[in-house]
Amino acid sequence: MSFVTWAALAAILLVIAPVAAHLLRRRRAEQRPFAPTAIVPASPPAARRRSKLEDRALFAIRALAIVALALLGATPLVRCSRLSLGRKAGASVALAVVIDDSLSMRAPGPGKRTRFETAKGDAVDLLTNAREGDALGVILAGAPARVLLSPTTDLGAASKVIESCAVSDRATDLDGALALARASLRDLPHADKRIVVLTDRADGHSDSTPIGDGIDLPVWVPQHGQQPEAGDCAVIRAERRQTTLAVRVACSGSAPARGRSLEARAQGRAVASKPLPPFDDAPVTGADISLELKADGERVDEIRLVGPADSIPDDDFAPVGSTSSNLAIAVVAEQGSSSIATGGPPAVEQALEALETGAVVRPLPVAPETADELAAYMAIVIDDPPGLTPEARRALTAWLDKGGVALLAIGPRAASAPIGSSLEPFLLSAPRWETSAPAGIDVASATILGPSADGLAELHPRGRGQFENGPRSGLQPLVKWSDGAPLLVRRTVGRGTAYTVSLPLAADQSDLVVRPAFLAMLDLVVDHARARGSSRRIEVGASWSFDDARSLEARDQRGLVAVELIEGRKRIAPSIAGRYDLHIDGVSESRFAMVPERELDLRVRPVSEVATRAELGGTTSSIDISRYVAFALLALLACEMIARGWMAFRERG
Amino acid sequence: MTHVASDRAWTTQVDWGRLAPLRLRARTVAEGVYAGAHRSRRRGPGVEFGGHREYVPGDDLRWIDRHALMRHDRLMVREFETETDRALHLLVDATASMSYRGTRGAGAKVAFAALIAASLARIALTSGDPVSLSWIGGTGARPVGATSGGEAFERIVRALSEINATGDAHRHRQVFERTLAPIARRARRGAVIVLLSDLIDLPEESREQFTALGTAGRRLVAVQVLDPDELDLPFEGTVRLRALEGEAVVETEPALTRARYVAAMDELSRTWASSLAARGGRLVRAATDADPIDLVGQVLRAVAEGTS
Repeated sequence: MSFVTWAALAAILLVIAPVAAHLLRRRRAEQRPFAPTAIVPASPPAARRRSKLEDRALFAIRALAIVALALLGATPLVRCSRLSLGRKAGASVALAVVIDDSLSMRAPGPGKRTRFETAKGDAVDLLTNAREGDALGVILAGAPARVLLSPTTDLGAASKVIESCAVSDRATDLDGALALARASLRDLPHADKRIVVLTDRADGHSDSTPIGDGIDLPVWVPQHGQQPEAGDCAVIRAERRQTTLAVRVACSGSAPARGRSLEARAQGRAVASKPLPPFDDAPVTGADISLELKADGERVDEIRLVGPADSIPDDDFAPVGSTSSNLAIAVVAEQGSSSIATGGPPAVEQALEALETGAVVRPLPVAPETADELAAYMAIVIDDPPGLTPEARRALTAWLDKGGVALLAIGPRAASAPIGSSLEPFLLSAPRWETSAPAGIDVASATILGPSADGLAELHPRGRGQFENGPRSGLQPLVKWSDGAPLLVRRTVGRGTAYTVSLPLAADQSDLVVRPAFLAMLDLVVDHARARGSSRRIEVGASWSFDDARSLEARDQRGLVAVELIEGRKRIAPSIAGRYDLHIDGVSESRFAMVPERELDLRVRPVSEVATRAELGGTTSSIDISRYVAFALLALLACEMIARGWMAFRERG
Repeated sequence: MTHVASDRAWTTQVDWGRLAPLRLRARTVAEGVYAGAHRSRRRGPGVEFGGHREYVPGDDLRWIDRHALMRHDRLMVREFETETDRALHLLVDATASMSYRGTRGAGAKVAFAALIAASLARIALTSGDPVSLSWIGGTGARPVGATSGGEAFERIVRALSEINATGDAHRHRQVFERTLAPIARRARRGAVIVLLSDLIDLPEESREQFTALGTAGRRLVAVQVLDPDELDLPFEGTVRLRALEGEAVVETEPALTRARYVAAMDELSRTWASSLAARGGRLVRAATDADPIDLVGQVLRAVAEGTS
C-alpha cells in the first residue's frame, strides 16, 4: 500500500478523540463550596443513567464515523481477497461460468466451506466484478451437463440463477459442460470470450487431457490452494430379497472403508449390521454385501454406513427397494439361428451385455403369452419370430399399454408366418421378405443412431423385410434404407413403444449385428425403456419419462419434485439419490435414484497451464468499496441526528 | 461562569469587595436613609391609652381588656403610649457560611451584613439610641455592649471590620443560644433586635430561640442575607457542591434541580417569616447585590411595622 493509503488508514487513530472527550466529560465534577448545599437536591439517578446511555450511543456513532471516513480516504486502495476477472484494455467480456454441481463437490474445500460453496462464492464474486455490457452464462457440470442460463447481459437474472444453484448427487461431466459453454459463447459479439470452470476437477478422468486443452477459447480454472484430501464411501443401492439385503457399497480406495460397517435400520433403530470387507486401493472399488434379516416380514427402511466419518456423509445411506426395481430385459431368439460362429449366446444377448447397462438379460424360448409374465420385464427383444400367437399379441399389447418397450427384428421366418399369426402390435399388416437389399442406408436419415450411423452406409444383408409404411400404419421411420424403405420404425402403443427393424439379428443373415450402429440401436431401446420408467432404479442424472401420463406427481425426501416437459414428454430427472414416491394417473409407486459409482473417483484431473494464467484473473484484486463506505457514513450521520432528536424529545418529556 | 475563590479563603478572610471601607460606606448609607427626628412611640405600659391589639402569648395578663373580651369574645390587650428604651441590638452571623461570595455579589455575605449593621447603628446612634453588637461564630469577634456615646459608632465599626467568618453553627448548636442569652437579659421593652444572617446551617431550634425574644415588647427583625448565587443556583453542567458548615456534599445538575432548590430556599424563608410574624417580627430578605440604602430602609420599615 502506498503512503497515502497508510496515512488515510492512520486517521483511524483519531477514533481515540471521542474516547478522550468522553473520558474528560465523564471525569468527576469539580467540587465547589456552596453554603446552602444541604438544601440542594441531588440529580435523579435515572437522569444520569439516561445521560450515560445517550453518551455511549453518540460515542459509538462518532467512532464509527471516523473509521468510515478513514476507509473512505483509503479506498479504492484497500485490497480485498475475492475472485476477480482480468480484462483486456477494459473491454466487455462474455463469460460462461461452469459450476460443478456433482456429488464430489459436497466434500470439504479450502477453509470451512464445502467445494460447492466455494465455487458458488466464486461465481458471485465474478458476477460482482462484472460491468454493464458483460455477458454471463451459467452451465452446470453435473452429468448430464446442462445450460442453466444462456449468456445474458441481464446481470440481475444471472444473480438469481447463481443463487438458485444447488449441489446434487450427479456424476461429473466436465467435457460436456465445456462443450456447452463453448457453444453458448459462439454467437456472441464480444471480442473477449472466456470460460471459467469452478470445479474440484474430480470427474473420474484423472488420466484424461488437462482441462482447457483442445478448446479454442480461453479457459480459466481458478485455484484456491491445496484442497483437503478427500475419501468417500457410498451406499450405491440396497435391495431386499426375502430375508436377505443385497447392498452395493463403493469406496474411493481402502482408507474410507476402514473401521466402518453397514447397518440396516427400521425407524432409526438398527436391526442388522455387518462390517465392511477390506477394499482395494483402486480409485473406486465396489463390493456387493449381503445382510441377513431375522425374519421375512421384518421391516427395513434404510441401509447406513456407520463408523468413522468420511468426506461426504450425504451418500452414506440409501433406502431399501425390492429386487423388481432392477431393469430386466427379455430376449426371444432362437439359439440355433441367432448364435454367432464364435460361440456363446445369441448376438443380441451379447450386445446387451456389452452395453453394460446394468440390466438383467433373460433369454426366453417364446414370447410370453400372459401379461403377468411380461410384467417382470421392462423391455423385450424378439428376433425373427414365426409370427405371434393371439395370446402373445394380447399380452404384448396390454404390457405396452402400461409403458413397456419392445424391439422386433423381422427375418425370413417372420415374413412367412403361419395363418392366424401376425406381428401386431408391432405391425398392423403382414411383412414380406425380399432376398435382395440395397447396399446401405440413408445416413442422413439415421441421426438417431449418432456417429455410428456412418458404419451402415455399406451394409450387406442377404435380404430384408418389407412392410406397409403408410400413414395409417402408425409407424414412424427412424432409419431408412438408401432406397427410402424403412430399416427402423417406431410405433406408439398406449404408454409404451414398439420398435421394428427390418433385418434379423442373426449374423448369418446380415452384418448388422457386428456394426457399432447395432449397439447404438439397442442402447436407444434400453435408454428408452429406462426413461419410460421401465427401470425403477436409475442413476442420478438420468431421467424417467412418462409420455402418456395424464397426471403425474413425484416427491422425494425434500418435497415435491419438478416435472419437466421436454419435447412434449413429461420427465423427472432426480438430482439427489434416494427414494421417489410417484403418483401416475392415480397409481402410486416408489422408484430409486442411485449415486453414480464412478463419481467416487476423487482423483483430480490436471489443468492446462494456459488455464491458470494470471491475465485471466486472480483471487486478489483492488476493489473500490468507497460507495459502500459512503453509504455507511451517511447512515451514521442519520443515526446521530435521530439519536439527538430522541435525546431532545426525552429531555422535554 | 461563576467565580469561586479557594476553599480556604472563604473561612479566613472576609471578602469586602465593593463594600469597603465600611465606615464610609455605612455613613453614606445612613445618610441616604431618611432617619430624621422621630418620636419614640412605643406602645406598652404607660399612662396614655394607645389602643388595643390582639393578645399574644407572653403579654402581661394585667393588660387584657375584659370589656373587649366580653364584647368581641376575643382576647385584646390595652396599650399605652410611653417613652421607652430604644436600644438597638445587632446580632450578626459570622459563621463560615457567611463568608460566601459569588461573582454577582458586592462582597461576602458577612461583609454585606456588617455594612447593614453599621448603617443601622449609625442611624440609631444619630437618634440617641444605644446600640449593642453580638456575634454568632466568627474569629476576632468582639461583642460591643449597649452604648450610645460619640465613640460608639467607631467601636462598632472597628468590631465589624475585624471579623472573620468561621465556625460551624450547625455542629456547635449551643453557639446561637449562648449569644442570645445576654440579649434576652439586657433588652428591655421597646428594644429592637436585628438578626443579620443567611439563616442557613443554623440549628433547627434557633428559629424558636430567636422568636422567643419577641415577648415583653421587644421588636424582632431578621435580615436574611443571601448571595445572588444562592437565590437561583446559576451553575451549569454537573457540579459537586460542598457545604461550608457540616459535611454535606451533593452532586447535582442544576438544570434539572434548580426549581426544587429555589422552592426549598423559599420554604426556609417562609418558615422564618411566619414564625417571626407570630411574635410581631418581620423577615427581610436581602441579596448582596442589592442597594444597601433600600435594604436599610426596608429594615427600618419592618421595625416600624412591628412597632405599630
